[in-house]
Amino acid sequence: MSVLDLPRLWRPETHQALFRRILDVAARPGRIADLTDLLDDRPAALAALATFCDNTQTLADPTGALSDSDRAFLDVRTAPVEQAGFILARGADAPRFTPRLGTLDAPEGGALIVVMVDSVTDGAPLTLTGPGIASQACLAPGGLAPDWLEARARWCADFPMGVDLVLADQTRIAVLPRTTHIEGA
Amino acid sequence: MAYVAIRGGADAIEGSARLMDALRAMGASAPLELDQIERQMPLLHSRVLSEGSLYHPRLASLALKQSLGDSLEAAFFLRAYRSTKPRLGETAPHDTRTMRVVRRVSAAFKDIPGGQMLGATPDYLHRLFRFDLMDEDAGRFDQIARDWFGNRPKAEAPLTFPKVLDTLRAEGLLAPLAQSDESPFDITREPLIFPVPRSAQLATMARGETGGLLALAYSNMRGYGDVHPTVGELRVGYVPVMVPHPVTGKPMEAGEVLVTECEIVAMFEKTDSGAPVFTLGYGACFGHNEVKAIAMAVLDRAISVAREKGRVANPSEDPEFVLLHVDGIESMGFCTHYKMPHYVTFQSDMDRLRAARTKAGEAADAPR
Amino acid sequence: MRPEREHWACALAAADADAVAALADRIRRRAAVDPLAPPREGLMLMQMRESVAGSLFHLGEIPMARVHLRLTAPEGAAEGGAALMSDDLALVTRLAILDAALCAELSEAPEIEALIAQGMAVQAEIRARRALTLDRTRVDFQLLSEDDA
Repeated sequence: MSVLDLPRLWRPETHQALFRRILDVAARPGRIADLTDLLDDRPAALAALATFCDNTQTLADPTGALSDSDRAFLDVRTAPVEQAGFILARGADAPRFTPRLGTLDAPEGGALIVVMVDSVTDGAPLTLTGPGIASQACLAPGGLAPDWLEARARWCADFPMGVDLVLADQTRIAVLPRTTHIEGA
Repeated sequence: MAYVAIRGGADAIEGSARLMDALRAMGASAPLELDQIERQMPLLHSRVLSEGSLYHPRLASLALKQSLGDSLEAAFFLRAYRSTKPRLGETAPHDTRTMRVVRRVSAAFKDIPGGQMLGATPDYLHRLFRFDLMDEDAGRFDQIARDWFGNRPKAEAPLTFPKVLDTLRAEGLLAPLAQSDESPFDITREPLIFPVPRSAQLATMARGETGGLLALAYSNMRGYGDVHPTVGELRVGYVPVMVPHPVTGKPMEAGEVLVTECEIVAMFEKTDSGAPVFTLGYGACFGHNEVKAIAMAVLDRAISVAREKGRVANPSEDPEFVLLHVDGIESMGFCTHYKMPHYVTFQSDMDRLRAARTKAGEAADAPR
Repeated sequence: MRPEREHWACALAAADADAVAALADRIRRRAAVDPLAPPREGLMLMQMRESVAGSLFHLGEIPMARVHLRLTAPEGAAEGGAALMSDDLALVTRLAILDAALCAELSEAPEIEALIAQGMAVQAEIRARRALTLDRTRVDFQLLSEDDA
């Protein structure tokens, strides 16, 4: 009892459990991860950032959604949105920036964008094909402006450079790695 | 030639581990206390601190105890331990002008601001055995401490001192400090791909193995090289580590680190402005290790000489030769791996030798 | 006179460890303590500026533990923090609690000040011993050529 109790969301064992679930749906695009039992009523987008961020990474939050306390616990450095390794964004707002896309030498330098959406299941259906998908899969995010799919196509045009998207509603996430092809987008 | 994967031998390996422990425990002497190692063998302890590249005095003592006194193995323990800990970041730059000095000498000047203090050094003593040290007891230690600490001067003397070289610099005899704020190369995260910046060079040598650094520096001193060093200042002492207070953000002292630092003054050379200045070399490491700091400074100068001249005249001037061969864990590890089973490749060597001998025999027997 | 806040942690670290722990734990039992950042224990690269070319380099790694918390007691609340070259997170947590308690002027404040004073006395003794080292080994060399007669 001589060391402080951390809120559940900020405990290493929670991050390990979150990471496993995020990795599973990143490997199988189209699948949805329900994080409810790990969240303690905090948003899934924050849980995703908590899993990825540490003091060696950079984060941009143009939405201003992160509180000072959340920032302190994320223990991540701030960077402008064009240079950050991780970005928090709203699906409802069209992206007005160009994120880091990586280089041919180091494509992993492309940013990972956590996009907050109303729902990962109640929107217009998208057909997905590509690595991790047997023939095709369906993802129907609600509250994701069409500009996002258009921007993603532009950013990932020079594969392997590009970005990876993590769509998050209040309790669930789905991942769109840059390897996934979205029909008609 | 690769070492091969083997099975079996678990009993022998376990027996060996137990034997190492048994060797320690045999005989009549009491178990070593960590404090004894730190306090009564501080110079060996210092070697391990700097070669392990982790300033954890208690673990350095444990490393020496567990490795049965093998300083290379002990440094290895600390390096391995480092890899189990998270990285919190880097401190703000520290300056040894804040050092709480316990020893400070200069070979270049007789009188320096603040004076010269020998501290604890065998430099001026004969290497003659003191046989009375064979039978010491706790009572003797008490007496020694009483004799030293009795009759103390009342005044509080300063513990921090300016740099000797600052005086030379003020006179214009040294090149002015460049004060570069270029972020230092992190040798714990990035591999050395030459050419490397000076920060990579200093960091690599700071955790280099003392004997390796000494041998290379000595080759330069003895005549293979061109550096004729005079120790401008050698200082040993405790540098306070300052980090921001989590609430106020102002610097707070989180602890102190024993550091040895050496600045050598070498030959003078012309600068772009035409006026000649002295050239310098720098060495610094964790712990009290003067030979290492001086050797580092000589190698620092040697490598700079080669860079300035645009050619390498001997191995001590070649940054690749120096930096790739001074790490004790790398060199010891590679040397040691030769003892691991290499049966398959050696078998193929034997087969080839036999075939070659047969062929040589046939050639000898063949009609001319 | 109370020393500056940035001197408290290292002074307390030099004071009697059991007394520091007992006092911090006693405060903790009657106050709420919440982390404001993840308490961290790990390694930092020690950055140095070398004095020959003025460039920066890493001397090696040092242990570091850092705690930032809020202490809330019936009579007062304050933020507290401490950082120490240590891998003992429990110790640094206790130092952060004492840092907050003294800032909040809790009833234990005089006891905390007493421990700080005890630690500062230990630090003063170390300084005195180092001064003795320098004083007793101060050199006054003379070149042989300077000898009279």
